[in-house]
Amino acid sequence: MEQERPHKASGGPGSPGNTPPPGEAWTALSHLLTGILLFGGIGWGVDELFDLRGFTVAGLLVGTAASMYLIYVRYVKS
Amino acid sequence: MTTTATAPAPGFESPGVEDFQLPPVFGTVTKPVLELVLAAIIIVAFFLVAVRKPALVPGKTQFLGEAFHGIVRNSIARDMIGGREFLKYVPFLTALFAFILVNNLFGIIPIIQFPTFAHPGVPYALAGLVYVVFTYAGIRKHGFGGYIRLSTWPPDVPWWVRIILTPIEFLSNLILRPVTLSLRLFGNMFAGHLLLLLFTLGGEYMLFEAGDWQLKVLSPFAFLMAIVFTFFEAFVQVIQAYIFVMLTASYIGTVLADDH
Repeated sequence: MEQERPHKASGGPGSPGNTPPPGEAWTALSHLLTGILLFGGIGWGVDELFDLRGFTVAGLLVGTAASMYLIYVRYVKS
Repeated sequence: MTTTATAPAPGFESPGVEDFQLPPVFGTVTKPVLELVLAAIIIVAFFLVAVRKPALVPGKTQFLGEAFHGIVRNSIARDMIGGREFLKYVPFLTALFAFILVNNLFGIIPIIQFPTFAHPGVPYALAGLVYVVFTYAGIRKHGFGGYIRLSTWPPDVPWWVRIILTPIEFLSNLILRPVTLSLRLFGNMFAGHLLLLLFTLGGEYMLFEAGDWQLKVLSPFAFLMAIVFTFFEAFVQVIQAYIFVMLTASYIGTVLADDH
């Protein structure tokens, strides 16, 4: 088709195949680490504040799952 | 083997962070500052010579300049930004690539021998500049609300999932991008320079200052490693300059992307 819409930035005209540009890999890694650190950090804070146990681990797991889902939503589903 | 040969030789101080705190050359001007100015002069002079007498059959300098520009234009800007908008960013990306490349290569050029970005303040400033550029590009294209929405609002998810995902995207896209960009460059340059310092100073210590003859005999291996790692550093320095510019272009491309 000649009249293609201006493509989404990931996957420009220079990359005809389905190879994702390396920038996306770095962003995905950044999302993953951010999620783990953010929710792990929140869990750790809750544990420290209220003298509890287990929220750090729960936060780490929630963060990992959330990051992976975010990467799925952003780069796989769309 | 005696213990004197295997124990860490007394008196050898391994290089550390203090080796990166260079004393001012004059006033408050330090060596990295001079290197930044020198890099700018080198690049401006090079491109002036390259485009001074444009010929249909280019000479060596013109060819090099055009090839450099071509790489940034075709394999960085067009691939990462694309559309009709990529041309606008080619000069910025070319200058950025040249500037980082020259400053990195200073790390292995004799006499200069200090990669400017091994001093943390320099990559922070550069990443701050890149942050301003891609944030401005995004806000101009989508408006402030549209830009924030594009960067932090995952499409087609229930609201309660969004409560979890939006903070991650907000942090990762709007806060941490310049941090990771600068730390990647700084870390690579810092570690590379430290390795070269360690092998060179260690070899020098083994040869001249250590008392044991075993150390004197083994010292050539330290110098050999210094030479090997100098070539390795040349590779890392080029790659890191490329990655910095590639990611900058990728960020610009992402903020210019159409919402779907």
